[in-house]
Amino acid sequence: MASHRRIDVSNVGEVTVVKFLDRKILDEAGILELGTELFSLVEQENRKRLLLDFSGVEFLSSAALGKLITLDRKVKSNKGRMKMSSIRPEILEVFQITKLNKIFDIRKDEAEAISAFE
Amino acid sequence: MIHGPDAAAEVVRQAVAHRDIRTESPQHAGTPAEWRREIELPSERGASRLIMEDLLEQLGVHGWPPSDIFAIHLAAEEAIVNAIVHGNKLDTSKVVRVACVVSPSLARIEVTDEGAGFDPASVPDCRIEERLEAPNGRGVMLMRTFMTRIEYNTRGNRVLMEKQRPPAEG
Repeated sequence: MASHRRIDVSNVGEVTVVKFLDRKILDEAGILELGTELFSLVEQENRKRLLLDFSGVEFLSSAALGKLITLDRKVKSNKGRMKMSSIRPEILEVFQITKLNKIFDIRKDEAEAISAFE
Repeated sequence: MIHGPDAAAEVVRQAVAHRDIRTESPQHAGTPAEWRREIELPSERGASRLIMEDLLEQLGVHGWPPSDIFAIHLAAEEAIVNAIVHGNKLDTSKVVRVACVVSPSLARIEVTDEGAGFDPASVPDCRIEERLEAPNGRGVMLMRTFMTRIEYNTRGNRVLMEKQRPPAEG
């Protein structure tokens, strides 16, 4: 498996759980790298069930939103599914303002998200 | 007594000195003075960090709640990144000027780049169905939503953003 600098990847059953290693996702070089690592989970490793766990994330910029949108499209075109969990209220508000909560499947916590894959 | 232009200059000098004192040091315990900072940032990715740490710290010092600090942080970050990447197009011979004012009731951030400017009305609404999945174009909308007031100059190379906070109750 590829080594990652921006994410921590683990498996819960058939679900790939992705945790973000940066508390603040805003540095543009970091976001570029984050995108590459996320996309490789789909494009190289062909993972079909992705759960993005935001429990450690305090801040993210619109550039990071762009990567999440692109990832969501890649997952869908690969006939996979993606969910998100444990998003703090301020970031949830960002998703609501931008109406991204309509395209992302957002769950309260990891347990709820994993059971929603079944 | 000093008369004529010298007297006027003296009044101005004293006024300026007075304002500097007020902005540099706390007036009374518990009511921190207004904080001001102007800085020129290089047109490089990540340069926003040269002002952001102090700005966030001062918002905390002036009693802004975490949710407002998040909002102002996001708006400032988006404005500065736009100025560096879209305004100055990462041209290292150009700078981005950032001017901040923070008091307990007002946060004002002005960001000016040396680019040709843009028409903010030309940014398409990313919330409409067919643009919902476009990866770009959310920064300006987040700035508008999170701040009380946001204005561009006519050329479109300067944005002024303000967030106001009602006085604390009690």
